[in-house]
Amino acid sequence: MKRFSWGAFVTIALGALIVLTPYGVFPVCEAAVLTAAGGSVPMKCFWTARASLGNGGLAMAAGFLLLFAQNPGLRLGLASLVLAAGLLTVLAPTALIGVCRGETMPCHMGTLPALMLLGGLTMLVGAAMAFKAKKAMPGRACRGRA
Amino acid sequence: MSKNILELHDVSMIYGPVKALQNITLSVQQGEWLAIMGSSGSGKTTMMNIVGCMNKATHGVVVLDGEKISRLNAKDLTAIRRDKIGLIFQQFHLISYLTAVENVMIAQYYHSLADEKEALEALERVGLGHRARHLPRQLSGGEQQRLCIARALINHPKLILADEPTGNLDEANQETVMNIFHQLHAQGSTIIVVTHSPEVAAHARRVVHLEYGRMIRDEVNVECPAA
Amino acid sequence: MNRLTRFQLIRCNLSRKPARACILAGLVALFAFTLFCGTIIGQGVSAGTRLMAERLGADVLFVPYGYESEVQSSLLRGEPSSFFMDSAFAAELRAEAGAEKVTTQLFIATLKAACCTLPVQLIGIDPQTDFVVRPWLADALRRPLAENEVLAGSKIVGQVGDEIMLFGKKLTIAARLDPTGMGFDTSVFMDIGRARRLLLLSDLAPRLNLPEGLDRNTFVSSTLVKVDPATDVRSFANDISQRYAIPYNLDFVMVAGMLSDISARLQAFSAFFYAFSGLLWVLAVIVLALVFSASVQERKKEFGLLRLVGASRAALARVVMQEALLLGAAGALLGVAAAGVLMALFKTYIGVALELPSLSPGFASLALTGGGVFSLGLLAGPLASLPAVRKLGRIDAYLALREEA
Repeated sequence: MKRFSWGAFVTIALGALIVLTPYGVFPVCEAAVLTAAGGSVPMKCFWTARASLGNGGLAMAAGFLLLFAQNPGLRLGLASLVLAAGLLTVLAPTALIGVCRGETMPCHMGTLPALMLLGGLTMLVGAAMAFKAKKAMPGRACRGRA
Repeated sequence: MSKNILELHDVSMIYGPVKALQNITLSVQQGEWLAIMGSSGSGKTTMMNIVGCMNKATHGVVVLDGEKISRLNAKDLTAIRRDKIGLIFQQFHLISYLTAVENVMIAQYYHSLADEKEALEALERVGLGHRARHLPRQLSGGEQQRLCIARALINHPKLILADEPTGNLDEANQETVMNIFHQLHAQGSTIIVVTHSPEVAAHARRVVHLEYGRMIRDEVNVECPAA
Repeated sequence: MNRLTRFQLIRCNLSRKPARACILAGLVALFAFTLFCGTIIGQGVSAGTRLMAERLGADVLFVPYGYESEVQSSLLRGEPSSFFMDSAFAAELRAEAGAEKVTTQLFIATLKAACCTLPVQLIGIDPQTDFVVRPWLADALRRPLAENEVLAGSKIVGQVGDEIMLFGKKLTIAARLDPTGMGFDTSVFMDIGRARRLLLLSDLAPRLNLPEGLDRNTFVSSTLVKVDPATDVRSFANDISQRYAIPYNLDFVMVAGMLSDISARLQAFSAFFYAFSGLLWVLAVIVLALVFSASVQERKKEFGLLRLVGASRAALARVVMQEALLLGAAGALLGVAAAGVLMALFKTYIGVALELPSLSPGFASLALTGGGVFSLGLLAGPLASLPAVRKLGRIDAYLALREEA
């Protein structure tokens, strides 16, 4: 019997928020930086936003697959993917790429904490689903199941 | 000669115009197996409630294990019931969200200390050791009743009180349950079974018949071997 | 499992209806979240206002007529702006009895600073007479500012010795200010003469809109006064205004008035938050009470059975109250934790959005507030379970089982 997966829905929602946050909810700075050679390059927050498109998309795809996946092993794998997407979401604006240094810049005071929060929540959901999937795998005794 | 575990002296239960029990005088010895028989409305359930400390008689004196229980308050009756009586019901009355061993342990929990090892041994004695981790809904009717018996016995009660213990069971399970009762009786337990079934009453050493709240007959079952 | 513990029994029962347990805990969490956020924000604004009152130094700010709100925005929120007045007014003010200290400042909104698009407020200060900015310096600067040196607000990127770019010039950070909770945090300070020269040589110069007759070598933006303690501040301000407002086209802002305005807004904010939190707490208690009462009714058979196996009425009451306590605790913990995480992550955003001086409360304050809010949330459960406990006392064990049979 197919069981309703709240975790999958929540993952899809979080993934969508990760995608939308740097472009809609807490948009990053649009301006470019002038280089010494006279050209202009986007700022760090621009690339963080791009990375969030990928990380959020990954979470959404994994969430969508989790809606249909019944096999506990498969669910464990997909949940681990969700966890990884969440981790990348946290790392992108902090350790991997970064945002503008100014504390009152929109990307620093809005986008960065929002992505950290969404990434953290995605990791929690992923971990919970992985734990549940591991418990359901064959060979593990379950309370009350003959 | 065994001492009396239970004495009823002129016990009545009267609710206004309704006389559920009238002037019952009865003694039950330690180690005895007594059946209380009667049709619906005979007063047997009322008598079970009084003996089981679930209700208080309006008249008369009830002595259980040397203690007068007729005028105790609810709190003291609960303590007596917990310490001295093991109850078995027709409807089983198990806690649905606890496993078999936990259902036994719950009786220990409110008595002294819940001990899983002792509870598992109790389940083994009734042939349910392999079903300890199952929920009640995963057990058959017979298994659930055996679980009730294990729960009733866990605190080593002075008296086992069973209300239609085989009422919801098929023939095979009835026989299994009655065999367990025989084993308990052989080990020295005092058993009172309330039933409307002559087949169940036939297992007991002594049968008391009730009709319209009165005791009309108190007879020894000559076909049953003496304890 | 070797022993059956009370906690296991409670957990077993709550996990039978997980959705209901989550909703009930969620109600308590909502209350705890709201109260914690409101209290921390209120504490932050209160601390910021208190610090501002202690250290700002000035009692009255004289500004060009029509720019009272601009100077408040700049001071409180760091919203950059530029406006100008004659510095001769300051010289006349120094001669007035009742003016204990007088200094001038020049406000310049830059178009952009290094690699960011947000304009930065550049404030020119007179090092000889300044008594407003110096009290905020993190480490005392015992020498005058050099030609290319600036003081940086706490939120300006860069450490002491680092260079920043303003008007195409490289400037060195000589010292940093303590966090003020005000607009100073996002401002850069330099010698007023130097600031004026930079401005006149910059791209901004053609668009300056200096008032007619203003000396391009000595103009300022505001004149700040510390009034003699023996003089009434309002009377002083009114008197000066009457005599100099028309010749110099100026108006004034009283710092005390600004602070009392902030206090009033803070009080209104706090009143709203505490009232709303109180309402949520009452709602949580009522809903919990209704659900627990219904739950006792649902579980009559179970409670009847427990009575029959030897549980006293008091023991059953404890079961119900402890279930309620666990729900309350879980909800309160979740609410406080969620609020704490959100406040920590978004503290700058909240500070800017508030448009009020605001400082982050210390750890001790946070812990105390969290503990208090948690306790109130914890209390909601057992309090709400009292009607259910009373109902429990009326259950007849055997009748309950017979009804269900």
